Amino acid sequence: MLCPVDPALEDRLPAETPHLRAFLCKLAVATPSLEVDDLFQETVNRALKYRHSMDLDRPIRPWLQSIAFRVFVDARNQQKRAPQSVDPVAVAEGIADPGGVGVGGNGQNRSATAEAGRLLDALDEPERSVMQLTYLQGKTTADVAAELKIAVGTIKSHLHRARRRLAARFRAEDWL
Amino acid sequence: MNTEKFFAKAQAEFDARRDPLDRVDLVDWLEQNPEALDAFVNLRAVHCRLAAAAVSLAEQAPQVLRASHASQALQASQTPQALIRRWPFWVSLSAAAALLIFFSMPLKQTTQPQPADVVASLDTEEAPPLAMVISVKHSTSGKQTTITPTRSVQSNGASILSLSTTTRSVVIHSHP
Repeated sequence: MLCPVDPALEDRLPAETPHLRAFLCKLAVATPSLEVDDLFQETVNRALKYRHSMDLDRPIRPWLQSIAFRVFVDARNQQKRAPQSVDPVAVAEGIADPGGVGVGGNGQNRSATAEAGRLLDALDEPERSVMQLTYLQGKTTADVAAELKIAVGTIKSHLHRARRRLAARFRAEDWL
Repeated sequence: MNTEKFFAKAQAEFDARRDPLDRVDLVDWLEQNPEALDAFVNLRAVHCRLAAAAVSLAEQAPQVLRASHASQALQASQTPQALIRRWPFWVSLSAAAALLIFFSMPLKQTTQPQPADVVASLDTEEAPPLAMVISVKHSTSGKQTTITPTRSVQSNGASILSLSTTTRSVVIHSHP
C-alpha cells in the first residue's frame, strides 16, 4: 500500500516547484549534460522519501534546496567517475565539470557572451573594467592589477563585490 | 567556519578559476548550512556564466582574427598604390580591348564568309559594345596573325572564341 503524501509537503510543493527548478538550473549551468528535469524528479522523489525530516515550523525552501543540492552533487560525482569527453578549455576555466561535456555549443556560447556583456553593463566602474579584464579577456588578478595600477587585494575586492552584486541581481530577478 | 569565511573561500576558488564544489569541505559546509545555498548558487551561476563567455570569446577569436586579416587584405588591395602596382594587368586589359575593337570595327558590317586571305572576321548578332573587354593574346609572326582566346575551340584549323553576355554573343574566326 502506498504511503499517503504528507499534507504539509503536498500543499507546499507546487508553490515551490518554479523556485526549485530555477535553483537546479543555476546549479547545472556549467554541467549541461545533467538534465534539470531528471534532477528535479530525483529531488522530489527524495523529498517525499525523507519528508519525515522536514521541520514544519521552518521554511520548506532551504530544506528542498539542500535535497536538490545533494542530488546535484551526487549526479556530478557520478559523471566525474564515468569516462567522458572533456572540454579542456572549459575545465581550465573552472566552469565545466570534468565529468560533463563542457559549456554548450557555439550558439550557446555566443548567447553567453552577449548575456555576459549585458550583465557587466549593469556594474559601475571600476568593477566593470575589472570583471571585463578578468572574465572576457581572461587576465589573471595580477595582470589586471598591473594594467589598472591597482593593488592585487583591491582587484580581488572589486571582483568579489561585483560577483555579489550580480548574484543578488540574479536572485532578485529569478534569473535563468 | 562561519558564513563569511565560507564565502571568502568560495570567492578565492572563483579567483583561481576553480569550482568550489570540488572542495569537499565547502560542499560539507553547504549541506550543513542550507540557508546559504541560495546565495552560493547565485554566486556560482554568475561565475559560470561569465567564464562561459570567456570560453566563447576564445573560440571566436581566431575567426575574428581571420576576418580581420581578410578585411585588411581587401582594403590594401583597393588602395591607389595597389592599383598602380597592378599595371601589367591593366595594360593587358587595355590591349585586349583594343584588339577586340580592331578586329570588330572593320568587320562587323560583314555578314558574308570572308575570302581565304582575310585573317580574321567577326560574326555578331549585334555590334558588341565598345566597352566590352575580353582577354586574348595577340601575336604576329610575319603575315600571320594569331588570336588566342581564353576559351577557345579548335575546329577545322580555326580558333573560335565565344563570348557571352546577357544579351549578345560575339564569335571571332581566326584563320591560320
